Amino acid sequence: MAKITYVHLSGAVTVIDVPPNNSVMRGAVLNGVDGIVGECGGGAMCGTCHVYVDESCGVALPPMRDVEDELLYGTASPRRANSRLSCQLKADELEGLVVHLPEKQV
Amino acid sequence: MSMGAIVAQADVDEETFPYERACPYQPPLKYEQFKHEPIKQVTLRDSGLRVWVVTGYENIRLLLTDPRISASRKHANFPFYFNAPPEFRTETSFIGYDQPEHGKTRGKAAVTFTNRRVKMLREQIEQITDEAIDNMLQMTPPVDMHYVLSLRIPMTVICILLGIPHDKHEFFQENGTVLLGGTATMEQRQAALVDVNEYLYELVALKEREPGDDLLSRAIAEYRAAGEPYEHRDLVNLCRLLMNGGHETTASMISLGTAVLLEHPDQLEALKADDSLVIPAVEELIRFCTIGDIAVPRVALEDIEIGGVTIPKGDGILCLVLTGNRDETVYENPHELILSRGKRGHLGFGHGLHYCIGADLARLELQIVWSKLFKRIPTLRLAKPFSEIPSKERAVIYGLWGLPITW
Repeated sequence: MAKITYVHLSGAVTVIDVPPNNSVMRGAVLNGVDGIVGECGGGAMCGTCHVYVDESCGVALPPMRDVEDELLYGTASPRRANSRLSCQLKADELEGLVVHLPEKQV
Repeated sequence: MSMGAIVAQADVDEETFPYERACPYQPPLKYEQFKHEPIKQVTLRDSGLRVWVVTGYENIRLLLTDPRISASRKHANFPFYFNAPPEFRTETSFIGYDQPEHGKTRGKAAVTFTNRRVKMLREQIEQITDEAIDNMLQMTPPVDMHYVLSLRIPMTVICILLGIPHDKHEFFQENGTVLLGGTATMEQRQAALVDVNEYLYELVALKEREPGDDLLSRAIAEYRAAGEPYEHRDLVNLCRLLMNGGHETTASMISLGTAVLLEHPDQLEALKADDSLVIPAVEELIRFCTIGDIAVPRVALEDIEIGGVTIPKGDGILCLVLTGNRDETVYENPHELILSRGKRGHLGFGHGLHYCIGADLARLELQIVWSKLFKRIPTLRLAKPFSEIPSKERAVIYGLWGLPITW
C-alpha cells in the first residue's frame, strides 16, 4: 500500500491507500476519484489521466518516456512543468505523493 | 446491465455466434439475452469453440484492465472465428502480444499516433479528403463511395505515415481494395498478400538505407538506439498491423457512418448547420456503429471471477463492446443517435492495454471527412434504399460492402 493524495480543483482532498502493483491513475479510477478518466486503461495512449505533481511533497519521480512527453503536449488542460500522466507513475514507489487534478481531461 | 441469475442453456438449439445484426446500426436481436445473462458461454459458428462473451460497459472495462487476461494467439482456446492451421495464419504484431513485449513493440509506433503528432497531419488529411471528393465529383453518379472515397482516404494517410514513396501509393490502393473489397477471388487475394508482403520487406530495407521522417524510420532508429536486435519480419508485421488496423476500420466507419447520417436526416441537418457539432458527432457515430464489436478477443490466464461468474483459466473470451456502447445504465436511450451528446469514454476503440493506437488519427480523419462531404456535396444521398445495401454480417470488422450514392 502506498498513500497517494489527490487534490481536486475545488481544493477538496482524497487520500487513497493504493494497493500494490497499481499506478496512481488506477488508484484513482478504482476508488471513483472524479477528474481522472484513464480512457486507455493505462496504455500511455490517451492522455486522460493528466495530473500536476505537487513538487513540495518531496517525492522523487521516475524519468519520463518519450511517449508520455508527446502525450502531455496534447492534454485537454495546459501542460505545466509539473505535468505527468498518472498511469506512468507506479504508486508503490511514490509513497506520500500529492497530485493536483486538472480542470478537464477530455 | 443487470446481473441476472445464470440459467443453464440447452446447447442443442443454441444459435452459434456471431449473430446477424438486426439492422446495420442496431445490435443483433439475440443480444437481448445478455441483459439477463451478461456473461455467458457461446459456440463460435465456424471454429466450433466454446467461448465466454462478456457484455455491459462496466464488466468489459473491468476485464480489459485485468492483468490476468492475454491477447496472445498462442493459447489453445484463443477465440478464433475460423479454424486455420497455424502455418496459414499471418503473424500478428503488438495486437497479439502481452506485456512486456506488447509495450516494447507498440512503443516503436506510439509516438507517431499521439494527439500532438496527429494534429500536425490535419492539413495533409484535409488535402487528401478534398482530392478524393474532387475525384468523385468528376464521375457520373451513382458511384460507390466506399471504393472511391472511404477506402482511399485512410490508405493514403497510412502510406504517408509509414513513409511509403508516393509512386507506390496506387499499388497499396489497388491491393488494399483486392484484400478488402469482397469481389476478388481467393487467388487474387493470395497474390495481393504476397505482393504487399514482398514490397514491405523492400520498404524496410529502403528505410534502413535512407531513413526519412516517418514511422518506419523512427521505429528502426528506436530499435538501434535501445540496442535491441530486430528482424525485418518484426517491422513488416508492424506495418501490416497498422495497415489492417487503420484501413478497413476507418473506411467502414466513413461508409457506415455516412449512411447512418443519411438515414437520420434531422441529425444530419443539425450537423450541416453547426460546424462545431462534428467533434461530438464523430464520438456518437463511433459509439453507435461500434464496427469492432466482435474484434476484442482474449484468454483467461487464471480463473477470473467477474459479475458473479467464474471464467476458468485457459478459456477464450470475447468482449462485446457494442453491448457496452449500448448499455442503458451508461447511455440514456442507447439505441438512439443523438450527435450532440457524443463524447469520449465509449468502448468503440476498445479499452485498456490494447486501446486503439490510431484512435486520435481515426477521430481526425472522420471529423475532416464529415466536415467536408456534406458541405461540398449538399445533395448527397443514397442511390438505393438503405435496406438494399449489403452489410458484412458476422465480419470481425463490421461495415457495408459498398455505399452507392448519388447527388
